[in-house]
Amino acid sequence: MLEQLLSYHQTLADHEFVKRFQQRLALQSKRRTLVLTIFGFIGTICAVVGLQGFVSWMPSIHYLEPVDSVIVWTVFGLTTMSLLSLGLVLDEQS
Amino acid sequence: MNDEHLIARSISGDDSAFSQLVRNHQSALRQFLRRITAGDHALADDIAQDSFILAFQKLAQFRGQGSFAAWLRKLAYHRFLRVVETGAQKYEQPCDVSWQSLETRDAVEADILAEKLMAMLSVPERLTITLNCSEGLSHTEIAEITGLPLGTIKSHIAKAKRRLNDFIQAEAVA
Repeated sequence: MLEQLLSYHQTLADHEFVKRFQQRLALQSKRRTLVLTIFGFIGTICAVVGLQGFVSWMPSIHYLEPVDSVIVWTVFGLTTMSLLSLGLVLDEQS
Repeated sequence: MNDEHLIARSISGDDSAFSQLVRNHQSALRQFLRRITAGDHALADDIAQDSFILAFQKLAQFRGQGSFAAWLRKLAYHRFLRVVETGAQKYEQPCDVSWQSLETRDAVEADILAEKLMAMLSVPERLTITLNCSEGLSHTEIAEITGLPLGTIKSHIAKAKRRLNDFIQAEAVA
């Protein structure tokens, strides 16, 4: 009797379940695109500023101030791009 | 279209193919989860949703070793274990099932009844007896999904059957 009872199955309706799944998938895709866009934009701006500072510094090696800002902005840009990559990896793993 | 074709199309970027996979497998997966969550339909559906999302993300890793259904159950089982670890699911609870309801032959009522009976069992017992008696899987197939040793699986199934049969007989006598 137990085995017979456990073997009973009913067919569950799929429409609402599939609709909810598709909505979750679409939301996840939008969230990922938004995060990528924001961090990519920030990283690109920082990298451009850093590169511009580096190029303007090159002819005159006696100015030390631009070196600090160039280094800071370039490191900040590279760090942001690294964080972006890390975020992508963690998102995939989750 | 069979699972292999749908999986290949999903991997190449066809989202409608994966939606069809969900349609094909959602009923069986949700029923499996309803049994191991002892009738918590909301929790079962949440875990099923998470499992399909995970399957979508990891589809390229599915190498076709075993069936897609078995792989889904493996994902769902591990997701369920996370829920158990948080304490969100209680198990080994008293079961409020009467003898009269045990004699039902309606598939829907019997399914719901089977879900309620699972509340009496521990998580490994629910899992193994559901995969064996409800899903019809062999002990080896259950071992592939759960990672449990064969001897342990047999022991859990035997213990679960003994507990449920004892309960049914006690209800019959009462």
